[in-house]
Amino acid sequence: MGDLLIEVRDLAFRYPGGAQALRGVNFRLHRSETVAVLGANGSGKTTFLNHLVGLLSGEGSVRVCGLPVIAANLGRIRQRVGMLFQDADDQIFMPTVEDDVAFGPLNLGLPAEVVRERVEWSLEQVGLNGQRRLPPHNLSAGERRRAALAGVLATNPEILLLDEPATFLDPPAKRALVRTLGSLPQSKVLVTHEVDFAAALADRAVFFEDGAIVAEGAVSELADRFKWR
Amino acid sequence: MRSVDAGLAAPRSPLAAAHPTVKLCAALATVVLISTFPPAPSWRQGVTVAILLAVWGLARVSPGYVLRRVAAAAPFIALAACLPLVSGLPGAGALAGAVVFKATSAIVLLSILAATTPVEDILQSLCRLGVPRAFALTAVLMNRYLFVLLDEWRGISRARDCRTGGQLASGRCRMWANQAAMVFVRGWDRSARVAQALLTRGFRGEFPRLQRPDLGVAEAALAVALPLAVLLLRVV
Repeated sequence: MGDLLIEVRDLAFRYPGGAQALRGVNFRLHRSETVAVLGANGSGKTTFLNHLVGLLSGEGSVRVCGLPVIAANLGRIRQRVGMLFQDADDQIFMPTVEDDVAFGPLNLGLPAEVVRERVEWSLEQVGLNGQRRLPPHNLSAGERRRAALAGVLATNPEILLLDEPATFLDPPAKRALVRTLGSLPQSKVLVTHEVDFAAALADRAVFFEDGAIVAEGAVSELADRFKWR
Repeated sequence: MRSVDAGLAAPRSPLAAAHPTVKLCAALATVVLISTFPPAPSWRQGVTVAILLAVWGLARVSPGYVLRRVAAAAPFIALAACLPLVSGLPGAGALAGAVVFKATSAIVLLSILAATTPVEDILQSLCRLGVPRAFALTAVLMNRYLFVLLDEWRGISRARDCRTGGQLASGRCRMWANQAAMVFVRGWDRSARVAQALLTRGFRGEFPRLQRPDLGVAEAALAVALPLAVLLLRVV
């Protein structure tokens, strides 16, 4: 087992004026590990991911790469954690694919030459080199997803948080995404409804129910137990 | 999925290859200079039209592209031209003619600019020229998310047509208003998610881009050629 990269203890969160979204969540992610997060819609999976990059802040303790997730550490944490959002359109905001992929590294203050290399490498990883000059609205849903992933990879994060990465993808695009993600060395937290997708990538899984992790184990074991196929 | 600005109207012209900041500076300076022409008809207008036609030819923009834009602005130009006519001022006819000439010239030039320059390059050039950052940031996001909202509008329209067979018995305005409200609410939700994504990707109040090379002497000279020609017309 590698270094401990994410450690969450007794995390609880309630949306203002809303229901309790997380209840006493405990979670650990080690280096080079991929953990699938399964569970029904509204069970707290995305809320949980948002806590790992400090977009939400609840009770309990969250540490990422040894740093507590507090305002003073957010810059350093977000350099080390890349998050792929559920809807790629939320995260591709630059006028062209190339500019969007370059956005993260340029914000890190990297020199233009290094940024160009990172952009090149990232687009190659997701197979979008031919579309680099296109505006995002000219891409298909699958291509936008890959462009968003390239933008995350370009910052060279240690941890990838992937929120429903296979949504809206057709089977060949899903297989391509499994190959791409499987080849990446980063530790990953993979939120998904798709058992086969999770089984192809994850070392283990946790199951969310009503804001809490109610089970942990192999993907197939949890899928059978919760009739999640 | 291809949207309304899938490509430039004249992507292969010599003007399309020129530096966007050059084109923007030249177009804006020329529009400003033309606006300072005296209203009385003179040979200047004729030479200006010849220069504009030469630029149009160089840009290889189809007449239909420019004329459609002129036609869209025609009601507003006509309204502005009517004002001196109804005021009863001496020389009202010349004033009205000058309004029509200047406004039409400006629209032709800016249409040529739009046909040969991607919107994102125009925005980037505005940033270079010192346009306030808040304006440029807002314009970049608007340029991006306008198409997302348009796609949402189309999606809702398709869903509605599927349920109504494309027929609406009554309440068309009300339906459109409801649809616009729905797109607005979705846009509002999306803005919160975009803000989150910006934060996770290290946003610090700027949209840095991999820059095009800086202007060379030749391009800088080109930037001043068109407005200089019009300036000469103005002062001669």
